[in-house]
Amino acid sequence: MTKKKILLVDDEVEIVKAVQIRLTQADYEVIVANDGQEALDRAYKEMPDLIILDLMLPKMDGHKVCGLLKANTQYNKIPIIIFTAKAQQEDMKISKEVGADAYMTKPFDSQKLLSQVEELLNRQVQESQ
Amino acid sequence: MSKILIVDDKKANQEIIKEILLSSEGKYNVQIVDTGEKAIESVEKNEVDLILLDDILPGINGLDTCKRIHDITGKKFLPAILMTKLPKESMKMEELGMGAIDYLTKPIHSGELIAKVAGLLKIKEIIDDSRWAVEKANKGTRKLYKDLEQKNEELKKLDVLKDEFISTVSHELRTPLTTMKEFTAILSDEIPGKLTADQKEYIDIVKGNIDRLSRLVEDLLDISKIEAGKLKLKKASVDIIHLVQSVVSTLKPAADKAKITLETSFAASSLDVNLDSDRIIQAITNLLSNAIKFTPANGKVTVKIKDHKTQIECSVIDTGIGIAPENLNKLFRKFQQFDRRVGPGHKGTGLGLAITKRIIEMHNGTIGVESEFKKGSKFIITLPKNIKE
Repeated sequence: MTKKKILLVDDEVEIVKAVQIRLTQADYEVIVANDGQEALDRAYKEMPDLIILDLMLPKMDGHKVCGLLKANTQYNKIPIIIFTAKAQQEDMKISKEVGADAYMTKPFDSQKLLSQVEELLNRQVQESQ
Repeated sequence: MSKILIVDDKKANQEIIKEILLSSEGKYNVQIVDTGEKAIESVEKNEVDLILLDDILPGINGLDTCKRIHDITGKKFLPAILMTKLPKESMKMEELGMGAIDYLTKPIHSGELIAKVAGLLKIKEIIDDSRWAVEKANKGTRKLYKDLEQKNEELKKLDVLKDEFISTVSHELRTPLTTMKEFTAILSDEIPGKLTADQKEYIDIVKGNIDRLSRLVEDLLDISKIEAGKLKLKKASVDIIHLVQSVVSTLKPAADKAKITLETSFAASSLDVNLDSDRIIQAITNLLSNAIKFTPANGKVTVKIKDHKTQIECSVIDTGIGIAPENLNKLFRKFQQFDRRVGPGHKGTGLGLAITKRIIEMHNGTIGVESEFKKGSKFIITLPKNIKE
């Protein structure tokens, strides 16, 4: 069985490394993007099974990336977890509006993140059957 | 010095009227023209305070001249006296209203002339003064509006800056904490490799301090939001019994560790209240953890919930060290800590109660405390149910 591919988007290199360790341990393949534009490019190119997306990104902010992917019929089925240290009420509202599937704040509980990832991936599998 | 314009084509009349005016007590500057057209020109060119017109003139008559002049002067008050042979009764009221303000019958009686001129000029003075006062007030009001608009723009900009500041600070503080927390967890979970007992212990110490720092950061961020008026509630209908029970379950291990009995007494098995779940959990957690913190071993902490029809009452009662009477009114202020003991677990930010109070007040609830020094304390919260919303 092929591993599920997760696109991890964050400009904080160390956070990326920490999350990557956890995801790899949980047997996922991880690809990384460090800014909004790169996130889109890699999503289009690699068709990940799930995207973990930070909001404060250079070049294009997370909300815009999410919105663009969800507006595109080819990519809008990919579940997106928005993952941010900002946690303002306004941010949560916008995240919903741009179609994010889940919202997590930093600092995060790695167990929660992993179960959220699992839940969304299972839902994806069920929906495509 | 009032400027009076005499409009009459007969020289004799002109002289008589001029003479009467100049020999009266009033200070008048008298100008004379002999046709209605010239009168209109004069009014257009100069400042005229009152016009005395003969009703019979070559060209346009006195009454029509009056009407034309009033069309020109518009809002400005320019009194006119029409001198006419026709008796009062035959003067049509509409004609009077449309142009002339007053009239005098010929032959002109000097007393009457002077009285009417003086009277009308006095009225003009009063009207002009009022108009000037109103214009000044309007100018003042317009300036005030402009100032307010400007201040409003500045406040809006400040508001945006506050939002951005809170956003940025939140992000900047939480990011390194996230990194530290994650890597210590990765080490603690032995992902890179097994740890010795000492290494485990030291990493646990680091973890505990990261959690402590995290709590402080979150409290500071909350206080900043409260101060900036930016703390917002997300309300929904929630079973408060279930909510409080979950907080009790979360803190039970800490209570057990401190050898404190933790009891509950709930008025019902479920009670719906319109509230912000996360924030009320924060408030109850604060009160309950304080109770545990300040109660010595073998003590007891009880959480009660009562149903008061339109509101609920939640109390956290402990048999702890209590609060001295002189400290009771300072309790909910920021950065207050009483009886700070040395040792693990007794340190805090001094912000918890201030934040709790604000959360309860934002729900239109109340929070109060009863305490007996060295015997125990009781914190009482009321919250309106507001379920109809």
